Amino acid sequence: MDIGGTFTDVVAYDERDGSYATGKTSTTPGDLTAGVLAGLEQVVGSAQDISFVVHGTTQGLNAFLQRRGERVLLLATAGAGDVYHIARGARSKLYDLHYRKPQPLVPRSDIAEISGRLDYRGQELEPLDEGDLRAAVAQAREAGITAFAIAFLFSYLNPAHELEAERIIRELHPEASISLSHRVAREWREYERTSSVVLNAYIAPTVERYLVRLQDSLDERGLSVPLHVMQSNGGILTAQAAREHPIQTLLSGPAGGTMGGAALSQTLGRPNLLCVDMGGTSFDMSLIVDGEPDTVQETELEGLPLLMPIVKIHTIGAGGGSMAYVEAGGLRVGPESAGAQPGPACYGRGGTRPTVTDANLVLGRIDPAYFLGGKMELDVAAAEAAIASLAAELSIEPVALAEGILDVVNAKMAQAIRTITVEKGIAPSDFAIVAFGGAGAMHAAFLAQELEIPEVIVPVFPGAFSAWGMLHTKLRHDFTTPYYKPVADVDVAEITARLEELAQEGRSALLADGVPPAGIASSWLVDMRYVAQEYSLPVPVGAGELEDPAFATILSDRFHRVYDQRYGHANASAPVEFVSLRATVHGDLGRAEARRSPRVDGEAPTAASREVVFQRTAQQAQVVVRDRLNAGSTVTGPAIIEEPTATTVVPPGWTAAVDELGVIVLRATS
Amino acid sequence: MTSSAANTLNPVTVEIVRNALLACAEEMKIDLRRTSYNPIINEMNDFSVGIFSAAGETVAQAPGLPHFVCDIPSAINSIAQDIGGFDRFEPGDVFLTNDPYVNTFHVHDVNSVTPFFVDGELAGFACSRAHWHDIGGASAAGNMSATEVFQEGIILRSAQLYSRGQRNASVFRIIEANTRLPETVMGDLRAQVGACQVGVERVLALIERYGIEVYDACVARILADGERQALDALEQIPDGVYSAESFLDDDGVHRSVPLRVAATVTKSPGRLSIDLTGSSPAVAGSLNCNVNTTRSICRLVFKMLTTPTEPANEGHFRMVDIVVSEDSIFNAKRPSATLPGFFALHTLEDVVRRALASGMPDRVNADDYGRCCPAHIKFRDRSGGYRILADTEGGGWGAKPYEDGESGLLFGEIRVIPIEIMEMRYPVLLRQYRLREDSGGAGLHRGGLGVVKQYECLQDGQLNAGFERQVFPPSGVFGGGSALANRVAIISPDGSRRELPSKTTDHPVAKGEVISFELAGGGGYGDPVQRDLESVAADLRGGYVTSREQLADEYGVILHDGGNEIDVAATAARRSQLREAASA
Repeated sequence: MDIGGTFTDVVAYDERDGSYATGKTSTTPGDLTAGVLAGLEQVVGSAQDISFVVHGTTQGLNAFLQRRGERVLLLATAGAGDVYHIARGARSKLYDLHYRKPQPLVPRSDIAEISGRLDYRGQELEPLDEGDLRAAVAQAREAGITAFAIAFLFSYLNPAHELEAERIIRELHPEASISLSHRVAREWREYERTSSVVLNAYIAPTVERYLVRLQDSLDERGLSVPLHVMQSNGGILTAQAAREHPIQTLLSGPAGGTMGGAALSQTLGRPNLLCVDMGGTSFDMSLIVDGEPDTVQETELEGLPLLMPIVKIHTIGAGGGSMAYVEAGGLRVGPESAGAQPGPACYGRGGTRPTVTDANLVLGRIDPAYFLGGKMELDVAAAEAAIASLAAELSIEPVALAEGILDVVNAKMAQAIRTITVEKGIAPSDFAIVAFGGAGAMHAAFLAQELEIPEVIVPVFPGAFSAWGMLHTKLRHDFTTPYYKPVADVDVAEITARLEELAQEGRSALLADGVPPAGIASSWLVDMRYVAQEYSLPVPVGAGELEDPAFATILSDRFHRVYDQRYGHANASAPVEFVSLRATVHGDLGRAEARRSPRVDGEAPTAASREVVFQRTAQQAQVVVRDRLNAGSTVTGPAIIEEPTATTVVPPGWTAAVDELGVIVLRATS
Repeated sequence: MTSSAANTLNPVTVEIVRNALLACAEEMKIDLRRTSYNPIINEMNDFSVGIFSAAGETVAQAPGLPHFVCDIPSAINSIAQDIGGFDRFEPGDVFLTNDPYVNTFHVHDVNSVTPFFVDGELAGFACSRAHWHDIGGASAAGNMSATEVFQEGIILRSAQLYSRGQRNASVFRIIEANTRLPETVMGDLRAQVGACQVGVERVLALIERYGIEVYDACVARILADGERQALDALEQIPDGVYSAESFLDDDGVHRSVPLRVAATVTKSPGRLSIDLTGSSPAVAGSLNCNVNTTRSICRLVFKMLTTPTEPANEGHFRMVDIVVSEDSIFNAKRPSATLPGFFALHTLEDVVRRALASGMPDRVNADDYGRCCPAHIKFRDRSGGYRILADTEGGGWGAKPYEDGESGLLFGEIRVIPIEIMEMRYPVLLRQYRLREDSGGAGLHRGGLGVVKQYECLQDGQLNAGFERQVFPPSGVFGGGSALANRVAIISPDGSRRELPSKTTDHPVAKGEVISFELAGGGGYGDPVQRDLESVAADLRGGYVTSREQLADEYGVILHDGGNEIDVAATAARRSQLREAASA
């Protein structure tokens, strides 16, 4: 179950015959559980029949974006109370005189300084001051604050003061919701860690209330298994565990799409996939490399940093609603979007600027009578008028403008993809595209052409792919511990002990989640960098390597290689240091195997045909209904494949083939 | 440009090429930031990269700092001049230059210039410029009080690093032998050359796709569109002559001799002239700037006021003229010292902007804290090597025409080094890191607050610090008050304070002493007596304003005894009293 801004999607897998079913209901912003339950009823007769359920929630994200979270009292080390407000001083807009810093979630008056200091080795310089804590709790009580965020300097090395503070607050204020920075993000850099723990404290009560309410409603309906929740790191947790790490639920929806990509990667046997999700306002990209989703260890939300492992999703402002306009005589497309109000000109809600959707419509790529499965009639004349008026301004033909708008937006998306692959030192041509979201499959073949990518994959249910992906995700816990040492001084026994300790913690957590011991796997990463550099790179530790006497050499060689791949040069003679150790445990509860249909090879039946413009020329394109495609069917471009939530464009020179799982694979033939 | 290319050029192609060039500059930036060694580059973003036309004009740029807007072309031109013209560049060449009389702030800023070719013809340049941590000179990490450039570091004027792809080992050796931090500097040099290579590869792929004729035509069009955009925006400024002035504390050598920064801005139809005549003559100390960098700063202010959201190209500035007299702190001549010349440029930014305030009252902010207050705390390890803590804190920014100024903010994507990293790397212990209460200028909209940062030194060391605006604090506009000035002090264990001047080089600091950086706030905007009481109450709650004197004398706000509650009646009386005094 995936709650989006507009719709709640439910995908159900039937264990008896391997079939899938989908449900879609409007998201119910007031009480999200209503939409979830309504969607569930569309696909499952009774909650008693459910043997596994996973859910992606935007509850925490909404509370953050709308600034409706809990009032938080932040406890910081004495002398450093303004770290959270000073941030790191950077401005993201260079020429903006009227720049505003990201809005902090806690005002300066709700920050209390607590005496007690550790040094850079984690050793106590000054004991924690209980009197300061008592005063802070009194301040909270007076202001009616029940949520506390605690972020002390160097707590990532030694959490004693944070734990002591938690104990004292609990005594004085038993109903308090307390978040500790070393638990939320056990990493150095006090501002980033503070920002993470504040956000956790800010959304914790909201997420907790929501998950309890949802679990209760499901239980009332006879659900006999635990509710699982999708996390931003591309794993799932039991709702019980998620309540302790609400911050991990923040970006769970988009992560579902990437995990769908990871599942497809396995079923289709394609290790490298580029997941592209194009909706109304944004274009989201993520990578599957060697079968694994690309994850990073930190991110930002509205300028506020978050230290947590997260499936890396890059977003640019390009979608169906992106507007085309003239700036100083030149054509521009996006990033401004027409949104839902007034929306593209063809929505007939008063929009006059042509959008990407208008261009697709004018070119015949969208059927005006079958938008959203026919739920919304599009106004072709309005789209044509909007395009014609901008074309006149630019002195070009309307058709050339319409196709030009798509060329510009496609080029922007392709460049964004190139930038993220270059950042990782990999070539886009080694990837296949997985296209989903309402508009993804309409543009994917053109992106593939730009990037010299040979294949585009359109999964089943491209409009509900995130929900589908969640169904195929394993349980996951991540753990980090600081380990700051030059490679020359590395003590392998110590590293082994500490990684093993982390993995053990993970195994216990998974066993508590109900994962059978055989379904548990752990993997290790070490963050390394050149001495004196600021940035580190995660380097995987292979099985058995910890026992190898050459461990330090193996790891530094691998670091040089990873560095060279990422940046195009490395310095094998420069000293390397360790920064932190990371362990990830995965728990497999058993995987859904999709039903395979028998192949019936041959050209797909054409439902209709219509004129669609490609390369400035109107061409007769066949229109195919996806439901009527068999495994083994092929469709030769120019063609349009329609289904209620998405449209796939097969340009001239491309063919589409349907496999046994119902997945469409587009390939360039010329 | 051939006519056929011009004829087939359509706006769609131009827009695709424009975006591709910007993406290319962005990739160079990612590459440089990720591969450089020195935190001044990868954390503080003191660099600039971009793609330039065959004539050396900025086509697409990704600056790390706003000050570097379109200022690399003068480096390309000076190299071309040194080697005998643009036709002397050859494929596989890479040149360096850091001549502080050509285009850089100071010798530490090194340009790396890589020409690229199509069919044997020069097609453009990929360049990067970045701040090196040490480039020799009398003081490690930079001399604030030099009297000639030779004390500041070596000049690598048009040094040829690669010739037709051949590495020139002697140049590498000269550089390595002239820095106190060879490992870092050589790493940064490799990163800069690598970033340019990334740029060249990307642009050549783009040219291959569209053909050089279409590419050149697109470049010409991109610059022409930029010009048109800036001309449209220029018309927001009413025609007229605007002027303002401010003062710098001193030249770093002759204390208590203030320097004048004056600008007369003339807006006429389709042109803007910025005349700096009246500014102080060149100084014996190091506070000098070359004319090209001065031009960049004037362009920056123009850009912020006209086309702030657009990536900059040469076209945006074709209508801006700069006039500088021969003998001026803004026209540095060899061999005058220039290292902290950027102080003059930062003040110039405030002055040009303030000059335009009456023409653009809804755009112009009050003065900022001084924008860059660099500090280096230097420690020697047992083997005699240096450990240099480089720190630049944010200050208060001027109040905006419609809201309060920002607090504790820097001037670019620079990021302050975290305490947890700092204490691990350097023998210091942070004592205070907080917003400096009461430092913002009073106003209808209050200036932002500066920052107070205090470190205890755990080992003997030396301090280099440049904190302008100690004598002349940031000013307000339209009746807004001035902010608190910058201060640097050393506090002894017995609590006594030694105040340091605006520019300090190699000042000894003993173990156990605390270095205190106290950054200025921003100026206020509008009459503080007009500030609504709700905002004043919020300032009191958040501790942004705590001084009863400032409240009573500037805001006209009286508090009840023994608390932070506003006495509304007494305040009304006080405010009408202040209004009467003002109109009298």
